[in-house]
Amino acid sequence: MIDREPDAGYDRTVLSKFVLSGETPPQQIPPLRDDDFYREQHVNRVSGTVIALDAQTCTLHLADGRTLNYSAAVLATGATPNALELPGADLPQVFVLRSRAHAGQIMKIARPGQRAVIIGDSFIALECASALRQHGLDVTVLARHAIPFVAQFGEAVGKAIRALHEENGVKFIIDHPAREITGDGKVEAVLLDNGLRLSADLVLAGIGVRPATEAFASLPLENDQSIRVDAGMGVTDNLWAIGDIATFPLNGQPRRIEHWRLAQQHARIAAANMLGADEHYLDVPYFWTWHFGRNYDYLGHAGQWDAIEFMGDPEQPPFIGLFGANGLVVAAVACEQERAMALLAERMKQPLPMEEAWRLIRAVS
Amino acid sequence: MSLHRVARFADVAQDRGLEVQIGDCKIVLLRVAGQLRAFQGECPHAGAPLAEGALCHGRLICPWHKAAFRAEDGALCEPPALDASSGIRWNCVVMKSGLMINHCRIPMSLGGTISEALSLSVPALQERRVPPLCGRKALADRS
Repeated sequence: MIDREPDAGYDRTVLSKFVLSGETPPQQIPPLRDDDFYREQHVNRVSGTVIALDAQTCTLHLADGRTLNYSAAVLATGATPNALELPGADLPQVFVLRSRAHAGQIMKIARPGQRAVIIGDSFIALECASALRQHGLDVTVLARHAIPFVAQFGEAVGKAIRALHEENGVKFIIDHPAREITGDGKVEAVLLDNGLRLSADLVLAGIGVRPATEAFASLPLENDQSIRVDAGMGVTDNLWAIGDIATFPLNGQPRRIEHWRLAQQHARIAAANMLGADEHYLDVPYFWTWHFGRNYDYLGHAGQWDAIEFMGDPEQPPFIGLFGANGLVVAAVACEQERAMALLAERMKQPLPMEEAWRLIRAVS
Repeated sequence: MSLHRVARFADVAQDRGLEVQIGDCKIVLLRVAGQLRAFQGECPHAGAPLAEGALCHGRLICPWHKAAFRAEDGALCEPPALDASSGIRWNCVVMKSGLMINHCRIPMSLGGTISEALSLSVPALQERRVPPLCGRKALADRS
């Protein structure tokens, strides 16, 4: 197992949810497996960075000059956060968040009472806004959308989450992008395109990620630099790709999905197929997002829908919303409806008519 | 070997688990095809109470992050859990008056139906994994 990070795999989901809030110190992020596991399972961990792949000869080239040959390999390099391209973006208090090291850098300087400017309104951006606010910082979000998460959650839930942030003191500035970060060796302010100057002690960019596939230029890549795989996560002979870097068929449509649990679903399929099985992705994508002590669950993956129906009010959880297309549930979003969502996580593997979904939900709520 | 009366069979619903506790050990009881199974009550991923999840298509689904386990034997079906839900080394005894549960390390055969009032057990898997205290679990424990 070749890893460019120094420590063994750890739970990345807590970085934006609980590390930046000050609840979990960076050094206490739980490892996915302890050292005994790797030893007992004979997993050889190699610290290094892959810089090139030759799929014809099944060879990996590492940055330090080593080469490794494989009988079967899975590419799971994840994604790289997009960096700001602004004057001043190289100041030391301008951050992205992907790794324990990033979180450590942020928490080294973040102190209650400081002013944080979050650039972007992605899930990472708003989870960080919530966490830093809970840590006692003054937080302003420079958002691209008047309502966050509309493409995933629809307007009603997006509005409710923005309202939750505002009730907790997060300020939103809509559609006035940053033009420059100023400061003499240290962040002092963010200048917006309308001339506004926001004083700042730290800046955090949550403006999306790109597949970390620079080392795989020898493979045919999609426009977004991801790797196209088949339903069994296969790339070519003896080679599989999973997680953020993989464009895979979901219900027949090519999709790239950046969820933690989905990458693990991919991994289990790829591992089985590396051992000779013929498993395909037939599961339901799921992610959760945490804002001011509220957990929002999302099941499915709806690019579009022709109906959205709610039980309960998104502003006043508990609620559950179903997204329908042609009478079938294509996605569900909920807060404090965990049993119903657990049931749907399994039941949505088969086509589920909206009416039947509501019957099931009412029976367990 | 002391017996603890923990529940009546009728208390264990068809569509969800039932949490019972002996000392500080939480156990989730499930109905599987007319039989009972007992597993660790907290999800091996982040410590969620599994009895607050759902039982569907023979799988127990975690309420928090939707890990899924096979109700028959606790095998892992869906992440983000990385491990099976340990079958607790408990020997469930169903009696007319209720379900007795007893810490027992004697391997017992699987099977039997409730109407026959047989002793049931689950395969002894690994030791109960204690989830890392982090995030939500830590918050829940603090409150």
